[in-house]
Amino acid sequence: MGRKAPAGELLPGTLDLLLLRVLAAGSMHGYGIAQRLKQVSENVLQIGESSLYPALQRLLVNGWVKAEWGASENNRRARYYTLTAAGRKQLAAEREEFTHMVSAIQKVLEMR
Amino acid sequence: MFYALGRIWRRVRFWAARDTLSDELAEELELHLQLKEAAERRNGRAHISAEESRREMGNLTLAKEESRDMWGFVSVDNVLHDVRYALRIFKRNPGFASIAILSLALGIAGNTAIFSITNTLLIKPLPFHEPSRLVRITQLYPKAILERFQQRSKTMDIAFVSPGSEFNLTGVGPASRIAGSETSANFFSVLGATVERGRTFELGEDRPGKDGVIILSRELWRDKFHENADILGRTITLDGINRRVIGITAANFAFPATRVQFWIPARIDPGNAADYWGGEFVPLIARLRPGANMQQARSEIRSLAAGVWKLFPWPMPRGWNADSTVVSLQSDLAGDTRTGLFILLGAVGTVLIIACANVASLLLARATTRRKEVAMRAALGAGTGRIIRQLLTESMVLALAAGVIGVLLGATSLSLFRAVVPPEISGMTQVGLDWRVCVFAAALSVLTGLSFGIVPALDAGELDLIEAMRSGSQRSATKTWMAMRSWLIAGEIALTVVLVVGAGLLMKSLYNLTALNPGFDSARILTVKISPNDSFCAQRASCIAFYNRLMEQAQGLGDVVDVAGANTVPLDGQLPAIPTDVEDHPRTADFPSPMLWIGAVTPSYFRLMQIPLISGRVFSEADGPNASPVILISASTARRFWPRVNPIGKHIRRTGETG
Repeated sequence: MGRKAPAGELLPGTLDLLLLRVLAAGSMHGYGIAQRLKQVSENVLQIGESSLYPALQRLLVNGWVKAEWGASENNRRARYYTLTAAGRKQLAAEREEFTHMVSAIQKVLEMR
Repeated sequence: MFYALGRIWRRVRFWAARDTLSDELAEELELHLQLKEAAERRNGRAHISAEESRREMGNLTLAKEESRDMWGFVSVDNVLHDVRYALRIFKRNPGFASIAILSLALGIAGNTAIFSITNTLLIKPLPFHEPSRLVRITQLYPKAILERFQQRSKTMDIAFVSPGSEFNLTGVGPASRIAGSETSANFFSVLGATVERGRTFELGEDRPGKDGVIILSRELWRDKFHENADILGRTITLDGINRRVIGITAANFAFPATRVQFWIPARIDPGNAADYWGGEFVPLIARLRPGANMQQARSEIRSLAAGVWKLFPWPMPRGWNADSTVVSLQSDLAGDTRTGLFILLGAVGTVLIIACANVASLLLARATTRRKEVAMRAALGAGTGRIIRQLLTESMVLALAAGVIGVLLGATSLSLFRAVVPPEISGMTQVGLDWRVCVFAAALSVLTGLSFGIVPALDAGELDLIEAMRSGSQRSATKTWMAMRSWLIAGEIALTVVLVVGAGLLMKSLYNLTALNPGFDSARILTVKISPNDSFCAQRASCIAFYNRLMEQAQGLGDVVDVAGANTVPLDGQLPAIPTDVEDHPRTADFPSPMLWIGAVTPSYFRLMQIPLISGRVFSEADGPNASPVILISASTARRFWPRVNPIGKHIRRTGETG
């Protein structure tokens, strides 16, 4: 039922952007992505399975990442996601849009 | 653009592989959990609380659900899922399902059958070339007037076709009687019909000397001549006259009536005034010439027909046929059937509405018992739209099943109908299911499904969740829907009463018709139709002797009590009419010779038919060929001509005869 992210989780629109940026640094499996996000943001951005995996599927459908099976750290097989060329383009586009949005909000907050 | 295509293609691939993907996702999630657990154990939080593990479950479920959404075409999957679910429900309640499907199927069957007939007779264009330009000139005309119109008309090409009469076919197996039409030579080209083999009539083949040809119907060729390939050019004998077969029509061609099996050229002979002006009066059909329209044709016929009564070699009633006009051929052929068909359409439509109301109230009753199930779905996350869609899918499955069965039933009843309907209604041979009917049936099913499904679906949409889950009932909404059910049932009963009353009235009319006293008693009377060729009675004496001998032999048969001869059976509409001079009623310009129907009978006829005699006497043996001619008239004729005087002894003479 509830499709809104509970408090403390991510703003919906930026999820794709963050995932793409994390993957730009290198291929990872799902758990690894979540951990990296948490780590880099110093525990602010925590993402659960219910948001992560659907988002990854969406990235796959849109052709921004591709997935391959490989061996994980505990010797089970895991799916590793890699950024594609189209994904790189999308990352740049979304990053620019985000910056644009943030500066607009800043201007409103600092108005007289 | 390519991006979008690529996306769609990926979606399709994912959808096709969704089961595999589902397993893979489960594996991925499993791994995720394991890694998470391992990390938490390292951090010292070994035991996960019950609440946390429940939340994990929820997250997993949601993850799976949402991922599945990405794998494309969720709606298709949902619909299939709904359909499977619906089928499961119906299997569990076979009684309810079969009642619902059966009542709907009957409603749809009736509508399909009647609509097929309506389609063929009224809607579908006639199977001829440019059928919208085919017209009929109303009222009946002799050959002389046909020629006159043909020569003078600028807007139409006119042809002549008799309704069909019976001829003796000899020389091909046992002698048989078959019905055929006399037509003008241009009949086939005016109608816009072609023959499958051979040729149609040529110009001039309707003149004496050239008219010894005949065109057979495909069915006749099949039945009597076994589709023998050398039929063309063969000579067959009809009423003692040899005719050469020149053509075979296409299958199912039967104009103007289904029983017409062959076409011969009418003999148009201006030298034979009796036949040229006084032969059978027949309908005229015509084709509008290019550039002409109905309006022009109508005014042309009005001026042509205005003075036609003066042209006859004998006086005709003033203004005879002056109100002739032009109508479209299709509506003329459908003619009498139109009202009947619309009544039938109304009736079966009402039956379908009743069936829908029936099933709607059945579904509504079930909806109340299914409240808990619906509430559960809503609690698990189904949106209102999803629930409504699922319920509607159930009704659509019912409706489509009923539609298929209904169409099959309808097709069967159509064949029954065809067998029962009198052959005079043209076009019945072509009645069958065509694409219009199938579209109609499909649309009907869908409409039906929506109309009775919407009611319980809306009911479900208004649910108060917690209340429903707890008690399985719903207070305020229940009242509304119970009222709705009462309305449905009341409406059903009202419509049913209408149908029953209508049917009762129709049956009463039918009964009255059959119970009418026709003035004679037909119980235990058999009729035998004897039809020798015209040439048979050329010798009057031998003709009379033949019939006398025939009647004597018939009298001698086992259980026969009485025998009589007549020129026609009563009430079959085949009596000839002749113009007469009636004593005490001299001819005037406005009222020349009255036309009287004439019957010729043997003396025993009145006794046999138990026709009561009011005054005077019946014929006797003494009124033979050499005695002075006598005549019997009906009471209404007596009243018409001699209302105050005793008619016995008065004279009536055939116009043109002396004595």
